[in-house]
Amino acid sequence: MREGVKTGAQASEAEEGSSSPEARVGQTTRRQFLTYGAVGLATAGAAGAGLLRWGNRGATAGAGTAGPRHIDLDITHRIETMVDGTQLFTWMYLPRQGKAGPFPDGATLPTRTLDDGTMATYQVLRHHWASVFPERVIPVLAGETLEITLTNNLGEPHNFAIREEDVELPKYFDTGALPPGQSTTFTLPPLPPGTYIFEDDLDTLPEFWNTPEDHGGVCRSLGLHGVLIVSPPDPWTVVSGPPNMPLLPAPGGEAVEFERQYVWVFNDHDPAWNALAQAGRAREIDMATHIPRYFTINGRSGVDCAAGPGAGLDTRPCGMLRDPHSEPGQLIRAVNVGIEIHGMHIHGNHVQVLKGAPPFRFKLEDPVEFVPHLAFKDVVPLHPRDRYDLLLPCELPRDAATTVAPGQQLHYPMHSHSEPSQTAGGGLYPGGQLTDWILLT
Amino acid sequence: MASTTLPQLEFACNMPKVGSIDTPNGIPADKTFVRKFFSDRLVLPDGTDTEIWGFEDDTSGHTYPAPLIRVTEGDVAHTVMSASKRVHTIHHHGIEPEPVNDGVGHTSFEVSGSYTYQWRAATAGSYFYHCHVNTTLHVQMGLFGALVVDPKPDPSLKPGEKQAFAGGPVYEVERYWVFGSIDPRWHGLNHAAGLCDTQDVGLNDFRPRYVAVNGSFQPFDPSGLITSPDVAVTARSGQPILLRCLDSTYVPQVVVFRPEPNTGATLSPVLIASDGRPFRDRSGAFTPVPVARQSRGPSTVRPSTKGCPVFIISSAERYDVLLNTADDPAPPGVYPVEIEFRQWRHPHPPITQAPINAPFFVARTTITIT
Repeated sequence: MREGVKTGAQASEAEEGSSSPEARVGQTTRRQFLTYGAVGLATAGAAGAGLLRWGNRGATAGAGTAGPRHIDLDITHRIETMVDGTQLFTWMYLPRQGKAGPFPDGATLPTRTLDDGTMATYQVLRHHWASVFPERVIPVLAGETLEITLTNNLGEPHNFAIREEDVELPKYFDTGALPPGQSTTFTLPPLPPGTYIFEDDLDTLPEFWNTPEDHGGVCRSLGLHGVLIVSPPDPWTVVSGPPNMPLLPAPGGEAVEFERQYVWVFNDHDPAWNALAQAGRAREIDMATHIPRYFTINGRSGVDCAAGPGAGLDTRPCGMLRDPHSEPGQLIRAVNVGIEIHGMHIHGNHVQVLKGAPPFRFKLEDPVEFVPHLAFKDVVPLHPRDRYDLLLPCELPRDAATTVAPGQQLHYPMHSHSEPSQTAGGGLYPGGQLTDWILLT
Repeated sequence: MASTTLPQLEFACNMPKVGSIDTPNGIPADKTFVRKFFSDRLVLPDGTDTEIWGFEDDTSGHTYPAPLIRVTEGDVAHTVMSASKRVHTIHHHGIEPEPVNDGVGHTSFEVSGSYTYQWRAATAGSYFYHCHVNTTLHVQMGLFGALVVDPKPDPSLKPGEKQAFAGGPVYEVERYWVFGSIDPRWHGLNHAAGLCDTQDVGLNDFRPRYVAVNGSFQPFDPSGLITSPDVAVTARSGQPILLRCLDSTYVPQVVVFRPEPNTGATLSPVLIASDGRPFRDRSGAFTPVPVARQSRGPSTVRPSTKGCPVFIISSAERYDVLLNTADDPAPPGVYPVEIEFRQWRHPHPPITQAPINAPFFVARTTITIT
């Protein structure tokens, strides 16, 4: 356990309050296990996706049949507590079965067969399924069909849409407006591997509002958002390719392996907006009035992400020292569901931009063509609806003047460098979009 | 005063602090930089003045921004920071030392006396440095400066030629453009504003009213130009120009390269690096990225930027821009460059628009090709 990463059971304990998946399946344990049968992924190769089975340990191990995975999402409200104790009324797509449905909350990692035929037990601490996802994340395997029943429990129409960053590009998917009290069941279309934001984007329609300004993002920022992760056939990799350009260090490769993956969802809150939503007056929100006072990563900020006892397994990447030339590091999927421009500044290592809006895309006014390149950045600007796949190499801090001793835990911050976002309630620095990452030497 | 049991309050208020301590594992330095805290008044283009803070060395005097730190790849550098009365740090942004030399309070300590930040410059490129205590306020107050790591000199280069990184293209004329802006309200705040209580000091709301390049403020004159010699550029046609650009403030800028007004000739700048790392293709070979030309969108506030090479730079990013190379010389003329500061809040319109309806929030300078 040197890496300090919790196993599935511990991760579940660290997430008190998340609904337990067994409520749906009638098990007596909180843990929900992922089973692959007897087939290791390494030997399964590209066909692995077809061999994956989700289910409860003992019940379906190795014997499941492929079929749509069903999730019930309720569009509802709740209270979220900010780092200064302020309680905000927010909206949410709430999974009835617990976080992201019956997967992968509490899942443990499957073993993986190494080249010499041995089962790699250390893999329990590694890769995809050992990662702890935050709320509002729905992972989907390649080839898996996801069926969602969406119920609108709020007092105005909402929808579920997946779209490009640029509002002028065609959407991937849209349920259309769902009236209050209504339900709809739909199957998500197959999407290329990648990181997607799902959101309520009805507010981009002028007829939804009483005021004429551009409203894109109001419902999203108020909480009606989530991240859909579509895995490539080998879920321990990230695939680069159209519609995003390939940015791969692997010679000739189409996939980059990572050790663990993390999701950082950046958001911002103006409590006046939350109050209007609570009063049933969301349609009166005027975007020009947005003065955010809380800036969150995965719904939390400041000490709650970075350093306190409640610091999140989901927000705080942790990894062993790795050779950047031969061993990939931690995959970080970063999205901005907020209204403002944020910018991730990571200390200690530059990150490699694998996918997403290139740093020099002229986002404010114009999407432009860009060329394939390798970009290593210490600041990644996050415009609203941007999504990036980044690789944190976990290499030695290269500008250390003397040898870095082994056996240390080196803590480095990651924070938005759009510095007003480092506050909470107008002060309390560093109480905003801040977390740490930890390099184990 | 809120309850002291609030974890964030403990976190914000009780950062680890030291007076003056020795640097762990100290070794002799190839270059040493003294950076002493000062406070002073700064005159703004409308004639008002405001308090600023800065770092000075033994000879620089009080400058805004702080003096350049410049080292060569492989150098061991010492930055000797003296804090004066209150706590400060120096974070060398983009430079990656061990945490004890990274200058972040909660992962190391804040300094009330003096501390020598030790680091070895591993990678050539454009960086910067700033105080990381109550950063939102302290950087805005002026506690920042530019930092350059040069590659080791290549003996095969001709006199006057330099490179931004080993194996990269040559340049002869160089500027480091540090884009900055000032919200005067913030400059009346206390050193620890908002830290040790839950008072709302408004550090979530940034509304700059003055914009600058390298501390030279855009005049309050619609046709005004920043003509400071460390900003405006003059070069012979074909004499390569390297523009290192840094957004030191909290709002994005759009950098616009305008055509020569008399001849209509245009510049063709390329991005060669960002954040201290060259752009490379998959094989690892250096690959410059042309600055894209704006393809749509008339501007309502000034002549359209359509067709102009433009790039956007966000807070703390650096871009190294190369132009007027021997292979792609610019015709002689005077080329306007505009640095358009956007508002921080949605929808990030140019600061030229409401609520500050004035045209001087575009910083303007020129590139003169002879």
